[in-house]
Amino acid sequence: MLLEVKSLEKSYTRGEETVHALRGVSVEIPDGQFVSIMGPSGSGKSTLLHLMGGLDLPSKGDVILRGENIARMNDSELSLFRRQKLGFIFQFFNLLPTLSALENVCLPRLLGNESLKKIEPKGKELLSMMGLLNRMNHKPDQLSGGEMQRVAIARALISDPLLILADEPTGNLDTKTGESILSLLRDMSKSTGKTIVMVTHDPKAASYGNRLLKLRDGVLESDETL
Amino acid sequence: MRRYNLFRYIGLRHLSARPSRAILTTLGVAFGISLYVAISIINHSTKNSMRESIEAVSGKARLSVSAGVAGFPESRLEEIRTTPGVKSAVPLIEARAFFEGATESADGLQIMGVDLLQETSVRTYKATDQKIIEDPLTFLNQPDSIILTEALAKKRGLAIDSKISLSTALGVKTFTVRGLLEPEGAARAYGGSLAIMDIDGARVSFGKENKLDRVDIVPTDNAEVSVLQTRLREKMGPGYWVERPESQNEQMDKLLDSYQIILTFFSSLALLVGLFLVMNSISVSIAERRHEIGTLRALGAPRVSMVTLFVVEVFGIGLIGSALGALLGRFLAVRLSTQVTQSVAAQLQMRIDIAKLEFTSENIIFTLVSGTLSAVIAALIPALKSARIHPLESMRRHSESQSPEEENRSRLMIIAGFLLLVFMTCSMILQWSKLWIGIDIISKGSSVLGAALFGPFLVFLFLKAFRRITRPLPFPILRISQGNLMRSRKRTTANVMALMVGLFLVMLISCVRSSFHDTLTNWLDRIFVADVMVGSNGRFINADVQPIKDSILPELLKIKGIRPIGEGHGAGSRIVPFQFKGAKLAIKALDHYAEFYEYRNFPVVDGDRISTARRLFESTEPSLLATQSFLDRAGKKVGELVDLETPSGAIPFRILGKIVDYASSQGVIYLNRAVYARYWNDHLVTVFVFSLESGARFEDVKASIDRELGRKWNLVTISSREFKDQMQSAIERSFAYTRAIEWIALLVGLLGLLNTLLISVMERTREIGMLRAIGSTRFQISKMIFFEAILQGFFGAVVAILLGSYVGKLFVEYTLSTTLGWEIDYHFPKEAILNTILIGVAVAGVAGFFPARRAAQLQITEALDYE
Ligand SMILES: Nc1ncnc2c1ncn2[C@@H]1O[C@H](COP(=O)(O)OP(=O)(O)OP(=O)(O)O)[C@@H](O)[C@H]1O
Ligand SMILES: [Mg+2]
Repeated sequence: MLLEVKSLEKSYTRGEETVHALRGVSVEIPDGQFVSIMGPSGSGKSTLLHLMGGLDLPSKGDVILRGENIARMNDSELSLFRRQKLGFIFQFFNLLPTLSALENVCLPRLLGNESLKKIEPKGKELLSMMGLLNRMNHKPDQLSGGEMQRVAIARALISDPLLILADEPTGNLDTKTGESILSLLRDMSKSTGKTIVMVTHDPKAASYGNRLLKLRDGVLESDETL
Repeated sequence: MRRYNLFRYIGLRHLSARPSRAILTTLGVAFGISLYVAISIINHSTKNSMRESIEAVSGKARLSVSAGVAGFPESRLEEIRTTPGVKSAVPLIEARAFFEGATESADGLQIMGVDLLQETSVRTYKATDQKIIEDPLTFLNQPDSIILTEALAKKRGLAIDSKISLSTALGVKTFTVRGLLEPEGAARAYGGSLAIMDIDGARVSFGKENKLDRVDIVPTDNAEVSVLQTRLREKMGPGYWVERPESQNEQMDKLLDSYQIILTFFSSLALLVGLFLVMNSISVSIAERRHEIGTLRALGAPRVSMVTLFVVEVFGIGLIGSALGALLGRFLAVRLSTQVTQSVAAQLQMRIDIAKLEFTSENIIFTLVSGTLSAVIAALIPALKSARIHPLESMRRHSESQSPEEENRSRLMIIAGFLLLVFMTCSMILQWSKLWIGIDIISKGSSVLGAALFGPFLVFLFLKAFRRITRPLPFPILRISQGNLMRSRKRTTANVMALMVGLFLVMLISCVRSSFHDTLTNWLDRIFVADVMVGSNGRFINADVQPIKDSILPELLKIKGIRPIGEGHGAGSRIVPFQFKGAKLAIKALDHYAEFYEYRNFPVVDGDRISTARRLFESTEPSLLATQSFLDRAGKKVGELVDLETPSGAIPFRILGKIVDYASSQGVIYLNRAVYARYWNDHLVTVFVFSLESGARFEDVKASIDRELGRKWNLVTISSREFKDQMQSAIERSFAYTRAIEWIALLVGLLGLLNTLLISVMERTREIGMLRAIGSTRFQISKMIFFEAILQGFFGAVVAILLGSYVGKLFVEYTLSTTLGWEIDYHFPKEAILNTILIGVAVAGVAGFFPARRAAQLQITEALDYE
């Protein structure tokens, strides 16, 4: 099993009030799946994704990725783990405006102090896979939204991660561009066998995956294979 | 929306949501203002104290007659008394005395030798036991009597009947305190460092037998003061000053003005840095709230209320900052006043005691109003910009790249900065300030403003070059930092400006200090050839010592190991201030001692040293050597005659040559002491110099002088090494107050940088979240922010060094030399390079620490959700 999430709970305290964002979610994700997570606003989708990616620590429960319990790691272990084993795709692309497209793609491994020369071939390969080789020296502000998101996908792949996590990757794109991004993700998942977990609002987007989790009020409401 | 509502719901909310920014800006204003306040309190109080001293000493007198430090014959008093229109004429002996063992000017006190029987017609005294004033016979019958002010007695732990030892021209003498004066009338003078003696006793003790220093005149009721003044002037003849107390005030004010202008200039720079901070903080605050402002505008808020919003915000900040600044300034004034007065005293060769630091409620109100107003004006420029934010801004995503309009503006600022620097260069080299005094102030201002506007441009050039160099290196964090700096040009510019003005000041002051230091030490090495100096106690270096009678010389020469300089000649020199055409010069009357050394120490320029110096001592005609500043003032050339007003009348002196001497910036003349003694009738000596017999040790000679003569005369013997060391530390000390200016400017710069770095972290919250998500460690994030700070500090310092030493060179070579009348050679302060860079990096490091930590501590999930 690639990812085991065991009775995961997360609550936030804001002043007097305690918000239970997740109230005990368990799910197992084997290798190669493209999982979509849906649910109403505030149901805990992002929270679940963040915990899967070790961006935050759960109040209770475990997240076990390839045998390692990331819910028990300290901050620097987590950072290293994210850098090497995980790929993230965000709604707002989140590229560094000062770096070129290629450098942005290589960034996670640059952070590991690898030399750009060593990473470059892989970065170029990923960019050409995204159809952006001719744009590799452009800065983010010279790219369109769809192009930026494709750079972000390439970035998520640079470390050859076990798992790719995406939070509403099409939320900031028009329908047509969004669809092209989604098919890109699906094709990539098929061709490379990468596991993807994607949060979305849009049932159409969710349909690109092969499994659908539905959350409501912090609990798993349904789990269906598509 | 009502304006009030806007402030209540938006402004206040914003302030309370981000209190750190408001606090930083307020502190910036406070620090900037504090120094300005401190310096104006000190300047003001110095003048007031001087004025009060003059008025207190003058009492009811409308005119006074004097003839310089050496005094004039007692016999002339009768002539004054009998002049028609004089109701009473009261004689006075003025002298400086030092407590035994004194090494500092602060251990000195002013002695007024008065005729108590006549005093009350001019001055009022209020003693704790009034009998001593009203019936002074017991006082007069005991020649060791002295009356102190209560303040002085308290300071030194003395009471009535206490004994005090003072060094006088006759050596150490013990006096008995017979009375204490309350701080009224004459006792207010000299900040209370004052003692009253009987005039006859004072004459003997201070080597002024048969002399008077001053006669104070109360005219008859119907006499016209100006008529009487003219009459007395004619009667007394040249060498005498018949003045009104007011004109003494004016002269004093004028003398202080030249010095205080420099102080004010430096302190207003600190204020300027503070205003930069306000401007900077408001413009970032606006940039940061563009979106919000756009939304408000879209919702229908009028332009005016946007501007009002910011102005009201700044008004509060300015008011609180000014109030804090006033408090802080008051405190600083106390800490700084000694340093500043010492520095003034050293440069103007006069004693200054500040009676009390005055900070009236008017001053406070003025500070509050002007501080708040300047803050508001500084904020107005960016605030007006907020009005131009289009409602559509709310729809647009935040973009950090500059619009073409903004790019134009920043290019314009660089050009303006460059032009200001060019203007300053021209005005200094071509001496435009001679055309109009205002040019001087403008050109000083443009040096700072020019550096502030042009400096960031240079910093960007350096950053670009640096980026090229480091591109191939595997330091991704460093590259990201650089990129961030280059990307947000406006923010970097603001940072660099705030920081650089402080560093620029540090460098400029270093240049001035090191040039002074070097010029003076070189000169000192040249003129000072003796091994041993003997004088009375006090402060050797500015000749603020108790002069001694020259009759002690034979006794000194009996000391083993001492060798007189020159065959059969003495070795004394008399250094006295001298009034010449309203300026305060120094006379150095020298014994013919230097022949022995072939006049090696004569700093003669444009002429043969040996023959020029020899003529000074051998010529039968009264002659002198003079500095350029004296020649300028006299309007004479070498070889011509110049009239000096001496107590023996106006005497023509032949100008034999030009010298360089830094004893007084207004002019120095060298005389043969024999000639001086003749015309000034003054046989006192300020300092004796000797050489050591070969093989004799300084320590032994000093020990025997102390043993044989020291006690009796209260002599101080120092080696030339010690003297030079003292001189050096005096130079350091006269720059001591500049440290405070540097500190404040840097502190304000630090606050500015801290402020913008915090904002920069906030603006990039989501970016930081992303970096953490894809695997940056906390340490890497704090490194990134820290690098940004350090890079700005480092390159800011490099540019400050370049611009500071450039402006410093011009300032030293042109402005300073002309305003001070000294030819100061520029000396590049090599040691300041490292210093400035270290300071720049340290300030930036400190400023970067907190934001870096904050960035590292950001919660990833929240950071990703930011905005
Ligand atoms: N940092 C936080 N502090 C307090 N409450 C939080 C925090 N993050 C999330 N929550 C709360 O937890 C609940 C779940 O939030 P989450 O972001 O996971 O929802 P979501 O399903 O992603 O919603 P959306 O579709 O709007 O993105 C919400 O009620 C939210 O208000
Ligand atoms: Mg969400």
